[in-house]
Amino acid sequence: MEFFDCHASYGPTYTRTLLELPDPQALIAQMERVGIGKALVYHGAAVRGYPLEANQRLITELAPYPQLVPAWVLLPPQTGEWDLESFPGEMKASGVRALWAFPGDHRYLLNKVTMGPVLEELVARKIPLFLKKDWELIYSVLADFPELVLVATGHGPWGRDRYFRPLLEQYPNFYIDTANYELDWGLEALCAKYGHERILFGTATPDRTMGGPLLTLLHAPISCEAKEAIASGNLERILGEVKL
Amino acid sequence: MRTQLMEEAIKDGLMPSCPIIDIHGHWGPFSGIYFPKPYGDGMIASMERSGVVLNVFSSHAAIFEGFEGNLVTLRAVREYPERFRGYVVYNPNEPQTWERCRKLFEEYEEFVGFKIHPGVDNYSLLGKNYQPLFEYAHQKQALVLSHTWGGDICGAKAVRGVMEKYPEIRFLMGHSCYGEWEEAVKVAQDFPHAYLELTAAYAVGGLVAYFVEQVGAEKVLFGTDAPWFDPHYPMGCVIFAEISDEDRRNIFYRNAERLLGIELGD
Ligand SMILES: [Zn+2]
Repeated sequence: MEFFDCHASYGPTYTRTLLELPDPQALIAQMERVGIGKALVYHGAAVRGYPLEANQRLITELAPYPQLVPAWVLLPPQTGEWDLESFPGEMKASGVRALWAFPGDHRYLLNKVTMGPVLEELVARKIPLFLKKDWELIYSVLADFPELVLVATGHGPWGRDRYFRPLLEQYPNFYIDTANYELDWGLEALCAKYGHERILFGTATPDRTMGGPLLTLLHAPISCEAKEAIASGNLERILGEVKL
Repeated sequence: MRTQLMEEAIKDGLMPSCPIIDIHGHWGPFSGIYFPKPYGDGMIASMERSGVVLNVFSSHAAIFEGFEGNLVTLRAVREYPERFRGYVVYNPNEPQTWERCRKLFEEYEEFVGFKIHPGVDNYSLLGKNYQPLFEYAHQKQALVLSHTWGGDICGAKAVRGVMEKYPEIRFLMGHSCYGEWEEAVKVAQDFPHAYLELTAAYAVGGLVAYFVEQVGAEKVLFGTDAPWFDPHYPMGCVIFAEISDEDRRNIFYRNAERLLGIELGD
């Protein structure tokens, strides 16, 4: 089975960490160890360092590694740092088809007032936006932008079904990743009720391990078709639908 | 490089040459989380597809609803004696139940130790109402699984305080004092009968290898909080950690065998 990790990063984490992945090679070594062929990757420095510089470094550093697909971290447009006109073209030129937002770290509000024009562009171009679990934020963004392709990542060990199932029911372009989705029989129950199309394999490496989500999906009591879709097919489809 | 246990786990999701003992389980539904299958049949089906042969647990009823919940544990173990053993849950906010807890442990072989949850009970490990239990467990060299988590109530400093006074307790630091990794490691290094238990902690990048490097795999045990977590998740964390298959066998079953006084054989 082909695994495409939707949720990985490398570079500085700026916090006490037991697993250092300073460069792409270190990330690839982890992937090879567990058998993950491909990963959608943001630069760790884009979170606590300066996003726009780190986004550029990411493109340079990933150039030799086609198995690592770049994802950028965005900022609000009002300061001129994130250029509303040029960003789709820059994404296209750099082969970027997915974005992350870290509004808490970057001190802005991810809402209609601040990010309206950016999110409208994301909706129009079907560019997926990845967010770390913050359910109130995710609910409010989707209320304003119901067509947005939004991936909620990193669940934490308590199952979050009561938070995310309403979103699966309400918003057709809402997705979850499997990093820390450890709930026993959780994938089976989810696929039985909602199908497998909106679950993406993710690991949250290096904060979390790759082995847990990998073995869980590999032997989940769901169909092979469902496993393959979650492992890579769904993410390939989402990225394939992006219009730049 | 793939080891034998890695190959087995990847191929079948279980390791014919390496049984698993889950030393930290629960039972039944709980208000704070949705469980698709919180009872025996669902838990056993999970155990079977991942090679967990024995689950040592405390029912959620015993933790969240009081002493009588221990009888839920007892009934469950009796229903599936091949698959389960129980912990007697003692709540320090109900010190009058201690004698009944002790009797349950002494009179019913279904129980193999005690479980305490200072977090849920909001009662420090160092508080006086825990003393009768610790005194008893110290005398009997009994197994005590405590929920431990970074902070004052049940962090590594509190565990150290308990172990200094009662070093003969077979003390399992459930969740390994989550977040206070270095301090938990020091406790496990300083006290021969203090153990790191992996539930939830296993998912932290690099942690399993760090524990094994620091304290040796003989002091690390496998747990899943079943029916919370799919056993394949923690299993994958241990299987792909940068440790040896010998380390994995210690974590998956040998240490638990020794503590429970049972033998599954290789
Ligand atoms: Zn527990």
